[in-house]
Amino acid sequence: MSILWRDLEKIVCAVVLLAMTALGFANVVVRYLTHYSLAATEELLTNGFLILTIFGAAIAARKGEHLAVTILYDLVPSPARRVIAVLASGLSVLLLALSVWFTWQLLLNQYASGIQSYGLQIPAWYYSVGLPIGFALVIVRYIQHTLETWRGTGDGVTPDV
Amino acid sequence: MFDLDPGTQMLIVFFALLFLRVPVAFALGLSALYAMWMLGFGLDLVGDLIASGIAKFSLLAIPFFILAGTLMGSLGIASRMIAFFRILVGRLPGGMGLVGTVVCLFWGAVSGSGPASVAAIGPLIIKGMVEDGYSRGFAAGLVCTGAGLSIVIPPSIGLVIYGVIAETSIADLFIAAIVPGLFMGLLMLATLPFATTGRSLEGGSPSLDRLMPETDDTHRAYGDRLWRSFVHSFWGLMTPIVILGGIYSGVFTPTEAAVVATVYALFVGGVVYRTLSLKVLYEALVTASASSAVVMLVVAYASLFGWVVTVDDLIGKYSTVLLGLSDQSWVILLVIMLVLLVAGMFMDAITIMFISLPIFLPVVNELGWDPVWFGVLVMINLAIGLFTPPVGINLYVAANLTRLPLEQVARGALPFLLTSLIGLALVAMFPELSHVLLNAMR
Repeated sequence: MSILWRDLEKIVCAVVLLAMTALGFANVVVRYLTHYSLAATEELLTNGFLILTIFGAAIAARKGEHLAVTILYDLVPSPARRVIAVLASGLSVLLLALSVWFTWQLLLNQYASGIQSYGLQIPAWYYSVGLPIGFALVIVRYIQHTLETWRGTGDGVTPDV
Repeated sequence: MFDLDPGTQMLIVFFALLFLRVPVAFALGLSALYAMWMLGFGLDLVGDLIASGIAKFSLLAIPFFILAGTLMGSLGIASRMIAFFRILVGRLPGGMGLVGTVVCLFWGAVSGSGPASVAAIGPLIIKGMVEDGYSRGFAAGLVCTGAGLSIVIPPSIGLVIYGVIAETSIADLFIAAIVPGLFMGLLMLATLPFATTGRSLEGGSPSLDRLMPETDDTHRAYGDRLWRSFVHSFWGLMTPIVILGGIYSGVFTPTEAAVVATVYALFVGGVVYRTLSLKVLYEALVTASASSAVVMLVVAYASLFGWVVTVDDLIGKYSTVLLGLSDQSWVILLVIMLVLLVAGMFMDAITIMFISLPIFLPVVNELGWDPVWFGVLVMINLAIGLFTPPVGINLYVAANLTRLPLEQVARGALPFLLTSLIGLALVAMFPELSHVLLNAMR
C-alpha cells in the first residue's frame, strides 16, 4: 500500500507507456504487411497518451521539473522571495484544482450524454475517468515538493527555463 | 487595464505570472482561464480543450522519441557511439572538441530535445574535453550549442509541434531540416580553431586513449581500430538511418518512426548488447514519461491559450501590425527573427511557438513564404535561444552537470553564438539549403 502511495504515478506511466509502445509497434507491423491500419489503435494510443501526460506531470511535479522563469525571483531580496514562492505555489495549486474541476465536468457530461468513442464504440467516459484523478495527484505531488523545498533551504529549486 | 481587450489582458497576466515564477505551463493555463472569464464564455469547453490538445496522433511522436533517446543513453548505445567517433576523428587537430561536436550532431539525429541531449551525452564529452586540456566552461558551452542543434536536426520535438500548429507535413519538415542542421554543425566545427587559440589543438593527446576502455588496442593500425570500433558500435550508428531512412523513403510516418526507434533500442539493448534489465527498463519508462509530460503539459494549457487567441481575434490585429511595418518582406523577416531570438532568451521553445506562431503564420501566408522553410528558420532561432543567456535552458542543464556558475558556461558558448547567428542569416538567405533534399525526394 505504501509503495502504491509513493509510486502510483510511476507505475501507471511505466505500464501505459510500455503498452503504448507494444500497440504502436503492432500497428506499424500490421500496416506494413497488410496495408490495413488497426482502426482502434489510434484511439487507444491517443487516450493512453492523455493518461501518460497527466500522471507523468505528477512525477515531474514531485521532482520539481516543471519549467519556471526565475529571473525576477533571483533579483529580489530573501524576504520577498518567500512571498513570491507562496504566491506562485498558491496560484499553481489554484490552476490544478480548476483543472480537476473542469475534467470532472467533462467526465460528468460524457457520462450523462452517453457519447461513444469514435473507434471502439465504447463509452467515452472510460477514457476520461483518469483525468480528474491524475490532476488531483499532481496537486498532492506539487504540494509535497513545495513543502520539502520550503523546509529545506527556504530557497526553491524549481528548475529554470 | 480593464479598458484593454481580454486577449491583450491575457498576455499581460501571462507575463506577470511568468515573472512571479509560476511554472510556464500553469501561467499559460491561468491567463487563458482569466481571459475566458473576462470574455464570459469558453469555460464549459476547458476540460475538452485540455484533452483534445494532448490527444493528437502526430504529437505521439514526442513520448516515443524521448523514450528512444532515454533508452539509447541508459542501454550504453550512446557511449559506444562516442567511442567510435573518438577513434574516427580524435587524432585530428582539435581532438576531443572535434569529437564532442561531431557526437552532438550525430546525437541530434537520435534525440529530439536539446536539454535531454545535454544530459545524455554532456557528461561523457565534457569529461573527455577537460582531460584534453580544454577549460570546463568551454567544454560545457560547446555541448550546450551542439545539443541545441538537436531540435534542428531531425527527429525534433520542436518540428513536431511546429507541424501541428502550422498544419504542415512533419515528414517534410524533418527532411528539410537535415541540410540546414548539418550546415550549422559545420559552422560550429569551423569555429573551433578560432575559439580555442593556443589551447589543445594538436590532437592525439594520450587521454583519448586512456579514457575509453575500447581503445586499449592502441598499438594497432588506425584502420584496424576504426573497423573494430565500428563493429562494436554498429547498431547504435544505424539508429539515424533507421529513423531518417524510414521517413525519407516514405516507409514510416514520423510517429511510426518514433515507435520503431523505441523498439529498435529495446532490441539492441535486449538482444545484441544484453544491457537491458527490468530495472533499467522501468527507470527509462518513468524518466521518459516525466520528460514527455513536462512538454505536453505546456502543450495542454497552451491549447487553452490558443483557443482564446483565435476567438478574440488577436491574430488579425497583431499580424496586420507586423505586415504594416515595411513594404520589404526581408525587414519583416528580420523583425520576426529578432522577436524569436529575444523570446528565446527568456522562454522555452514550445511556449514561444504556441504564443507567436498564430501571429506569424498569417504573415508567412500573406507574403507567400514557404511554411516548411519558415519552420526550419524558427527552429534554428529557438535552438540559439537554448544557449543564450540569461535563461537558455541548455546552459542551466550544463551548469548543473558541471557545477560551474552559469556565466562561465555562457561565456564558453559565446563564440558559437556568433557563428550560429551567421548561420541563421545564411539559411534565411538561401532557401535552397532547406529545399535541396525535398526536391531530390520528389
